Amino acid sequence: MTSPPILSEPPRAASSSLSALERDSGCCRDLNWRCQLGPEIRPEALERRLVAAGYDSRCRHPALRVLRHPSGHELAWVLASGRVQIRIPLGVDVDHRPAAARRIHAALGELLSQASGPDQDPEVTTR
Amino acid sequence: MSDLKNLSRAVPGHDLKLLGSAPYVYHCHHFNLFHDQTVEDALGPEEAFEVRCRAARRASRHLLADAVRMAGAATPIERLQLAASIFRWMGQGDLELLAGADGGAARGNHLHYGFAWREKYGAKVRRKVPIDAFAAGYASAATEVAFDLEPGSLCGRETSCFACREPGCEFSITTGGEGDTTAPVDAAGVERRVGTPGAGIGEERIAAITQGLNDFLLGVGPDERGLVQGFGIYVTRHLSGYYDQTAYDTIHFIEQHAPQATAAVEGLFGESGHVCVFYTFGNLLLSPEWEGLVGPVRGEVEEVVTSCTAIARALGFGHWTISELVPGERLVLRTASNYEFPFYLERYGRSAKPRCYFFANAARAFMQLAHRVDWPAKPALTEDLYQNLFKQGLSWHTEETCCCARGDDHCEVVVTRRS
Repeated sequence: MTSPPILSEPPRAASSSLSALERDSGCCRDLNWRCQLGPEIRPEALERRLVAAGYDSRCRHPALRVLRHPSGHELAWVLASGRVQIRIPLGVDVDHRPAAARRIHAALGELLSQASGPDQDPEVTTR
Repeated sequence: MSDLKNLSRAVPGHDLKLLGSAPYVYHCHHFNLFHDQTVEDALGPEEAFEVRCRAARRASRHLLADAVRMAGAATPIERLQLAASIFRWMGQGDLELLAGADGGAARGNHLHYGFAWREKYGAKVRRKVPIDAFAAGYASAATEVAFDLEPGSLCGRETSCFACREPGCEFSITTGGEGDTTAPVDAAGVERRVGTPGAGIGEERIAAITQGLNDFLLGVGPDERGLVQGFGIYVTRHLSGYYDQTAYDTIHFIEQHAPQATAAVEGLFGESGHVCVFYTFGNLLLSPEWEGLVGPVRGEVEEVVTSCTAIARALGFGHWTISELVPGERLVLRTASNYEFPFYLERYGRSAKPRCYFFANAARAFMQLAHRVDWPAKPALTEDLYQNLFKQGLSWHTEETCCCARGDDHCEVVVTRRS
């Protein structure tokens, strides 16, 4: 009953603040993927970085953010738990969805790495 | 978009949704494909396309006439643009309406049925007949309304279909339709038939969750392709008159012409309730939105059943209440409103037997999800798991013991463990 194995290669965390990529439940094959943000991530700072990277905020519920990229994919993010669901657009061919998810996951990790690098956003703290 | 939001409202106290005065509900592609496949299995592909197209045209014409009046759309171009916007708002895809008063064409991109069919079955099955009957009926209704033509004067036919591995969806709209004088089942008809809303077990929790889901759904809109994603699920805001007419016309046909097959066809329309609860309710429960709005699902029976009842209300299925719940043994759901019986009574009159196939089987699926799914493990809700839960291990019996379509003052479904 648990989710099937994720990818043929071993899952890797994109940064210390982001867990490995896993398949998430969804209505279509390989459309939804999940990863976990570290507790040190400050929602406001990350949201600003995502918006600067082109994401559009589609839902700003106190407990939840849903952001959409111009390319069509979405990030749904539970603030309390740090769970992020990466949503691949339905138009992406099923065979290309895992690679698309990996690219988005890597880009998210890159954003987080920048945030914790030497020029870190003062609102993003690390443990 | 904001204008279309203004068209959407609820039947107070009954958790039914209206677009203008046309009732609508949320359903995902798994349900939509299963429902239409049942019509096709019962009637054959050609007759099924006609039945579905006719139901789509009738329900859509009613909606579009309302929308044109409410928006003050005066010219054919304004009306056709409005119709295309509504089609997108419904999550049905992108429909270019190119016909005039003497007919013409329409073209579809990312149409919900064709696109979803190819997504779900395209790798395994080669489809030979077009699937987008809803779009064909909608396109003919939109053209009729745009040019003030008589209802049923145009016919829509899909000449090229994405589901059949053709590059896109094309439709011809032709004159010579046989006309349609059947009155729509609208808000007034629904309000005439629904009873007094009740309360049941877990009411406070159910009402609070329903409110939260409804608030969230207000912000859900179509993407650039005219597809609607909410809770990580692709859904349609679909006219319930389409589901009702296609289901009941099909069942009545079978009752008249092949009565020995009636139970099987009723069983399949009931199974659409399993499909909906498993894929839509299940994925909604596992979504980040649910986790954010309500919290992660722990998997207790009462929690899952009350959650499912709230979801049913938020999706516009009616003010379902839990009358009894004994974990491991029994569930009794009641309602004085759903999207099935008001249509039946208005269109066909009183029935000799219960007619809420979806309600009765959704209740059974609640119990199956509550008892057989390991929610904390966050299972993937795959076709294999569906088959395992609903084809090999269905441990619940369901019976609609009271039905408003039969003259009762409420509908009641009793789900008990099979011995």
